[in-house]
Amino acid sequence: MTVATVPQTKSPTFTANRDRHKRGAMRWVILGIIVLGAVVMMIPFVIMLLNSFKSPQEYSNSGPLTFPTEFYTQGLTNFWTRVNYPEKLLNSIIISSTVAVAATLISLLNAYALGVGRVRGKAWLVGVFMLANMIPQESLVYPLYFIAKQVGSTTRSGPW
Amino acid sequence: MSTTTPKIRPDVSYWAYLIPGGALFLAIIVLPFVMNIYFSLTRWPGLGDPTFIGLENYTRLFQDAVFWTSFRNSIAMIVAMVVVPTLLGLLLAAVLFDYIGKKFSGQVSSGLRAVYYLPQILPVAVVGILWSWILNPQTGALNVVLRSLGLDALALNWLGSTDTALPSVMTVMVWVQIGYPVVIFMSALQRVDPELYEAAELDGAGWFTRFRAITLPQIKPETFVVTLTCTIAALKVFGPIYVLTRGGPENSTNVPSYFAYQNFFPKSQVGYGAAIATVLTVIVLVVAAVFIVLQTRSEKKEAEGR
Repeated sequence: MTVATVPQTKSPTFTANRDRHKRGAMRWVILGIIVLGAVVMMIPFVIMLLNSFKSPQEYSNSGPLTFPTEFYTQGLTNFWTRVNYPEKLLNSIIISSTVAVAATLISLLNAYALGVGRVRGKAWLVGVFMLANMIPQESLVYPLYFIAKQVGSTTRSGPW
Repeated sequence: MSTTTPKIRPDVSYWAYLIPGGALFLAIIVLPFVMNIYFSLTRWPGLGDPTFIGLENYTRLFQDAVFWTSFRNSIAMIVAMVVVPTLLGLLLAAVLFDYIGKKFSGQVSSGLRAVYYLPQILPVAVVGILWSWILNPQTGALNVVLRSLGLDALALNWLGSTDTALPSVMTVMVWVQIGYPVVIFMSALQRVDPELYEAAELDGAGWFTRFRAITLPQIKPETFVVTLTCTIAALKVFGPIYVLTRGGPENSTNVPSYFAYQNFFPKSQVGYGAAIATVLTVIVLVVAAVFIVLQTRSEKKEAEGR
């Protein structure tokens, strides 16, 4: 089907038939537009990368668009120590791994009951779970905060 | 007898597997949700005992200009997170798949897709810091560039002025969101039978005709999913507002979830915040229900048509 012979195009007036064979200037124009869009998407990343290795003096002297003249890493070091980044990272690892393991175990049990067990009211249960996922967190956050405060877990100790 | 016993007994024993999930569901979602509705009927600063005041928070809410502003801004968020990204995403996905992919190569189109998707992998906090720095009126990259081009009049206080804050936030949201529909739509197009495109092409259908007659109807289910999930995300948007503008200046970028948060924590008007959150929940659930009904109806119509 794809090897239809080239000279026998039914309607030579249609450019679409010619374009099938990777010819024509139009495709470069379209590619140019899409690439331009992609460049616009990338600009914030480029600006971020260009400036994260500049010293504050260099930034105020030469502005955000020049290439850094030196490889300045003091900014990263300062940030790392000032916010105690290792602690934040540890919190993040603890939270995400707990969530990953616990959620997988519980989902496994739920899926076993719903998928293998086919308990009655299955569709209804899945519907309730879906709706629960759509509830804005704002309507849960204060009660959860209140409960946590009652239980006494808002003061953090150790890695928590 | 022998047919009924195995039917009932597994059913009962399988229920046991739902207990851990169900217990957590009750404790983390149902209980707080009910508590929140109760809080919304009280006046309560978060300490001491709540005072029951009936529907007073709700009547106050409907007269509150900030509340209406926040919902008007929700519509702006739907434009920036659903309407524009879905339309642009459809166009981009179709061009990348049906034009670039064929006239250049699949690698070119998937490379470009990755670039458009890149902002999606950034954490919200990073998006906020990055953009509030680019849009900073004095030292931000955007204004530095504008000034160096001699366009000093255009070097505005992008996030700090009531005229430009909302459009600026909307632009950032379009930048963040665009990759999601592009990726979903492109994978949807891979599912479409390529013979449809080839046949249409041989019949002389141009790119736009193929887009309208094949692409759009074929990826309708994905369009439904993208618009539903993005609309709900737009109604619930909190993080970008929190890191970019904190709802300001003068509430010009406030949204319902940020407005609820303001009342919960900085203002300690828990009852009022709970009422805002409850109204938002009702709206989200109604929107979701309308979407699902519309989708089922259109699927039914399609099934009947065939």
